[in-house]
Amino acid sequence: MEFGDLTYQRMRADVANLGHIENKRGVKILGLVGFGMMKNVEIVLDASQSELRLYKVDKEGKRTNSKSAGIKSDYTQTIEGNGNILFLKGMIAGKNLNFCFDTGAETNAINCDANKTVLSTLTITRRIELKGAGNAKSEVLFGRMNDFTMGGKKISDMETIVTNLRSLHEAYNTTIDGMLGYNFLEQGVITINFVKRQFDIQFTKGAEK
Amino acid sequence: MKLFRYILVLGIVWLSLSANAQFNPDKICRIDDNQVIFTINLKWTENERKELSNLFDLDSALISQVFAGKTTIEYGGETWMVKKLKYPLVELSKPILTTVQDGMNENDIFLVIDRWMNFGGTVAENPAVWGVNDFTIGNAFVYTSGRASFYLPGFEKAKKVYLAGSFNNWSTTKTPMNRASSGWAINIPLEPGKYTYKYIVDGRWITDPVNRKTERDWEGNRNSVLLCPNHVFNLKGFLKAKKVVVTGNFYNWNQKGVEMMRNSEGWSLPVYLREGTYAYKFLVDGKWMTDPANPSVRKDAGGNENSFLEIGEPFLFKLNGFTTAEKVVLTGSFNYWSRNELLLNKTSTGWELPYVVAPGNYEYKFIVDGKWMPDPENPFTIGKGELTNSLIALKANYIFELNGFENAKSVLVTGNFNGWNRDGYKMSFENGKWILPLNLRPGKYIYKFIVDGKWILDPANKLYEANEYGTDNSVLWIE
Repeated sequence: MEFGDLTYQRMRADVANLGHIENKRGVKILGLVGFGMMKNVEIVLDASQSELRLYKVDKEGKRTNSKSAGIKSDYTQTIEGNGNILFLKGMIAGKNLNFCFDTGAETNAINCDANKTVLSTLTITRRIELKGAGNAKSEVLFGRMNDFTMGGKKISDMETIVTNLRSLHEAYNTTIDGMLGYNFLEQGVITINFVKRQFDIQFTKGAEK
Repeated sequence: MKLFRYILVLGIVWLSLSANAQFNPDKICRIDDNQVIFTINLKWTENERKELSNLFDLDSALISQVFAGKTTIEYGGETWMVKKLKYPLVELSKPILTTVQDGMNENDIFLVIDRWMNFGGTVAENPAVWGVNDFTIGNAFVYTSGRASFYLPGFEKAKKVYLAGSFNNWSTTKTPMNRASSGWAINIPLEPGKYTYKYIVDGRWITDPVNRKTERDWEGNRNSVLLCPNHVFNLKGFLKAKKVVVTGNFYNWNQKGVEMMRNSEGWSLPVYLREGTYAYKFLVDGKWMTDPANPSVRKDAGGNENSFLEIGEPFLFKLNGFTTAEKVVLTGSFNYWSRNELLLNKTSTGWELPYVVAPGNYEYKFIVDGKWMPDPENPFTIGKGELTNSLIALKANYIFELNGFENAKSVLVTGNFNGWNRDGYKMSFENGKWILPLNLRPGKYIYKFIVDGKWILDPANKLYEANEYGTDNSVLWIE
């Protein structure tokens, strides 16, 4: 398999039904590219230009065939954890929160068990009630984060879902306070380098008037 | 002077009260101390209450109790408290449901989260029926001979400005703007219709500052809205009139109407109207009148005369026979099942009516002297028994086909295009195969055939996918 100059051989792949993604997105999908293929490259995500750039890197994580120096980072963080999941540190209402970064999710999410002060800073614009067997019920809220900061940079008006993320705790085997998705991604240019184990973001959205 | 001051104070009070009554979804709901709190204005109209109910999934019965002045409401197994604030505001609250209770299917929750989180925004919107532009300056948008000129004033220090919208698939790079005098401009070809758009000024998305017309998309983002008109309402003369508006079935005959603009010869209003048939009238300083320049005037069943306007090609609805009937009415999903709007004309062999409807799939019936019946000549139907409606696909672009099964009594095709209706659409056996033509917009469709009650995949379609029942669904892509 080839992506431009990047060649992969003897890749492992699962065969799965991806119809549900097609049904939601309304586009034909032949397959999904997993993180396994991204482990030995530097990934640059630039949503404002709708661009994904991949750079080959050497063993130290330095780009091998590119003269461009990379982005000017506004916030740098070491990638912790066991590898494939990227945890980011954000702050709402002065509280440190542990987010996982999911580039495939459209919207952010906050666990409704989060700190009271954190929840009170949100603007709620939609709500849905779900009924289960008997009188069992749960609710999912949708709104905006008004007081989110990362590395000292305030990002206002990011959309978020407020719900119970217990199942995510189990899936990631750690406490998470929320999830950052596409509308975090579009705040700037993001670089992910799994060799250096480093995450960088240069904020570009709303930077100048 | 004192009286004037009094009036001024009253005026300010009235202004602040009416401002309070404004419905702003951003200011309704918040979370505080583990409570979900809704700030509700008791002056909200019926429509605003409905929107409140839709946005926050609050049952209308619950909302009615709030408006009836109850302070504690037991509803849906929860206790809701109503706290009075300064009239007309009240706060409705209840504890946030954080825990997933026993009996709750976590998968259901996941599905909602998944739908909200992964909404790609690529789902085709329903085409707009009509609309007019509302720009604050005259040269901000000009539409002539199929070309649209956009002008964004200001931002002279910006390095790059792009135009992104529904017309270029929200591309961030396809449509760069050019520098123009005191601003930015671009001229692009556009078909008549409604579009949403934004400008990207040095990477920052903004709505058009000189366009008053905006709408929220599904995710709550605000976009600017523009219309490329395909019709101009004109009324010559009446230059001494203070206000002239046009209204019609496209605007639910709202008496407020759409304000027309005065020019040297009279009044005019460019509009976009989707293909279809429209009844309309002018209101000149509150006085109703038909369009004097339009010879097409019809009486509705109430005896009122209205001007008629057709955009697009008509389809001839026909009912053979019934020559002794006194009145035959056509009714369907295209006119909200109105019982008296569309009278058929009597011919020597039966009844007919040429009628323009936008491309799409419609259900309809005839009402012959008060008796409802499906079209006897049309084999395509949905529903069963008395609830059977005829189905017509205008500008059909796809035909479902099932070969063989010549001895089957009933063959239906059903899928996500008709909400998986178990009683339709009924197919017709012609030239050795069962067929059904439909108008399908681009996208992905999943479907199955039901042959004498048995659900089967389309044997001629290799493309299928698993469904939640462990049986499969056939898949169809319309490009």
